[in-house]
Amino acid sequence: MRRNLPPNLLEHLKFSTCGLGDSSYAMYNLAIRKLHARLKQLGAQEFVDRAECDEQSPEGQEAFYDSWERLIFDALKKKYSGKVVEIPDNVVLDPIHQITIKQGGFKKYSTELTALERQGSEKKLTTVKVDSLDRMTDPEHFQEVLHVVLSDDTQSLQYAAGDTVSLYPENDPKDVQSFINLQGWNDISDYPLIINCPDHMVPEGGWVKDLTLRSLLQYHLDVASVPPRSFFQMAWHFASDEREMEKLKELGEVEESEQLYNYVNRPRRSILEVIQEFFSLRIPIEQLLEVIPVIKPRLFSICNLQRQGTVELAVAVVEYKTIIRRLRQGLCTSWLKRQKVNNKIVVSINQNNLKIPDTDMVLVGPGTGIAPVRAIVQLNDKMIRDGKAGHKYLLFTGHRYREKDYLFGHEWPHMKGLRVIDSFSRQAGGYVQDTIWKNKDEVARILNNGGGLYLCGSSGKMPTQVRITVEEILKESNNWDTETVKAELLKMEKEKRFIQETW
Amino acid sequence: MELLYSCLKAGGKFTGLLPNNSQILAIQAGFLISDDNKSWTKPDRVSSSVGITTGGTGSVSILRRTTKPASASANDSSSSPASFLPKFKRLSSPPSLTDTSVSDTDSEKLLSEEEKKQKLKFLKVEYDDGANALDDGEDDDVQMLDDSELLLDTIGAPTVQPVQCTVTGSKRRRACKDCTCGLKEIEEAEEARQKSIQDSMLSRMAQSANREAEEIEARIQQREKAAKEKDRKNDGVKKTVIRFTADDMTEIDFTIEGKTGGCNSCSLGDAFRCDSCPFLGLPAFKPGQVVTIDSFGEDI
Repeated sequence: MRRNLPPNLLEHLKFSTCGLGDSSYAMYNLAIRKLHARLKQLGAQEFVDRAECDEQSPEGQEAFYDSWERLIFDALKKKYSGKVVEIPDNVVLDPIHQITIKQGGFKKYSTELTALERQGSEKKLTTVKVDSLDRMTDPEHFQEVLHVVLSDDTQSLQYAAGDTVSLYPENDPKDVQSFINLQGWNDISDYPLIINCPDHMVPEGGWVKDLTLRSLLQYHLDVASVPPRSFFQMAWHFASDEREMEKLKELGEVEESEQLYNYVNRPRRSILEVIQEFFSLRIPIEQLLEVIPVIKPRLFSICNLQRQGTVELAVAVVEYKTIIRRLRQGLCTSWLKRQKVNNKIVVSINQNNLKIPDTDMVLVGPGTGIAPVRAIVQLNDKMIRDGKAGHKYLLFTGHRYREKDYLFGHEWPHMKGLRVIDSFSRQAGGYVQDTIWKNKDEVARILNNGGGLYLCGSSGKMPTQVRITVEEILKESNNWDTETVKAELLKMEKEKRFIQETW
Repeated sequence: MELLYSCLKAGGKFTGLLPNNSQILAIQAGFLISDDNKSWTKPDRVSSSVGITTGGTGSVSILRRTTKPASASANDSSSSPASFLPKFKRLSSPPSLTDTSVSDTDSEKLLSEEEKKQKLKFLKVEYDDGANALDDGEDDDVQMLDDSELLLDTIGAPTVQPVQCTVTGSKRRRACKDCTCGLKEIEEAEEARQKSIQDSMLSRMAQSANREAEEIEARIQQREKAAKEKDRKNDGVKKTVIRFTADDMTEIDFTIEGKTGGCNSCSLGDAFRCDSCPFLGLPAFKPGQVVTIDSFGEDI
């Protein structure tokens, strides 16, 4: 935020803010607080109370938003009394996306689809080849982790340690055909389809070229996702059976959050599965993109050093069971598992501009959090091998069993400048925070001599536990009190010596 | 600081050995701070006379709130040269435009087109500058606000509470991702019970000698066998498997023509089934029809 703005710049504005967040993250809703404070500093006046949504609350984020929306609407109605026209809830607004199917005189496209060409987005996409897709964990182990190797013949992929790759997952063609059958679209599914929409509504990576209803379903409409409440708020308009219409409407009501939760969230029911049960629901094609969310790219940390146009990923497969008989599979997981070696897919690189401190480091990478850590370790290894000044890295890994899920474990002995302290939680090895504590002298030596700490892994308890452990170590080794150590840690974060990458 | 500000002409500069720690106060007073902090400038704004005349012409589109009561507004332009924007008299008869006829108890000020344009221009220029500066990836030529200057404590805690589920009156139960309180186990036990009921039901259906149903039966048995072996491996900890008698099963076997369950909703989807419906988790089907493997999905 810019400093030199006059304090009454926004004096004429009324505003309110609503932040989305999840209180399991330490900094949750911080961005909206900053924005709110700045708007106030610049003279803007609060219109209604601000809101901070918390996904961890029993009611979920939407329930906060709904409260806030009511405040806004009430305030607007009061302010503009008599001038506010309320749209009755049985009126469906015009769609933002204009969808037309070119039937008369147009040729059908082949049902053999390709997603390699996309358009309408600034994002630079690269076509890569799937080199290998190997299971990294023991076949007996409950968690499958795939080592995905992608190669780029043009060698145009540029990336550094800490960068991520976006994958563009697709729906299962079987699900797509099932959707087409259910909606009675077999006659029109393969004619050219045109979408006109504002630029900001184009999905990340753009629309695939030569769209048809089928390819729209396959590449863009997230029919395998769990429907949000807004899905039901739209969908009930399009059910002809009265009982089904009422039920869909109920599911869209904020006051019915329990029913919605039990019906879709807890069993992780997909949009397709909802449509399979509501026989009379026919979604008008022109409203498709207003009713069904679009598929978002999935981001994965690159786990290798830039070399020869190859990108490696470690992808944990998402599979679980709920009360619904069919196995729940992540969209990206099931798509990746359908891929065969030598298939071509599109990816894009997201540069994170990670500045690895030019010092000795403590690295912490439990589970698949090891992915970007491996790239950092490889970089240091290369430096040392090339005769440049490398550093000493102390790596804490955390897995369940040495024999089953020790990701990249066999590589560590060959790495220069690296010392690994492993922990296997199901073999009495504890978690990373335990091994960090056991090796506190060494950790203290690195951190107190200007070294850095890089932490990557799943969010939740692990990052907090590691942080508390590091605080204790710094406290003990420096005789600091709690306030000092917190301030020092914040300073380390500001100087990018304490880097946390959790998801 | 305010006095200092009001002493200066619009566009006037205050230079010298300026203390770094007073920048917030300076900004609050209305100064623009130069990037090197060597001078504070009073922004050059539209002169108030222009503002008033154009304001009077009535092409009004923005409402502006002032902190002063309406009665004081008549004196604003003369008594507070400190404000960098011109202030206007409230019109005795507001132009009959939508915005101005709004009934609002707050005293509001109207921005003239001219003034709006000036403000927008200022914003636009500033915004563009900022964007370009950021594009370079260098923050050097734009001074960024430090988080501590935002005075986050001043905005207060949010008061908005989530809408409660009023239909059941109960809070949504949800096991956390890493649940340790036992809720997760309860949920899992419920689901296991449900599955074993359905397994029994499906085995019963298999007795109607349908080939597909036989396959289901075979797969269920195979899985049970595997589960038993696994139990044996896991130190003999056994999971309770609920078995049903033939009598129990006639209650819930809807392959019998005409039977739809006491509530008539079992054959519909989960959205319509009761909490205790034995079919929860299975797809909707037509009463009296043998359900095919396919409709259960590949993972029975």
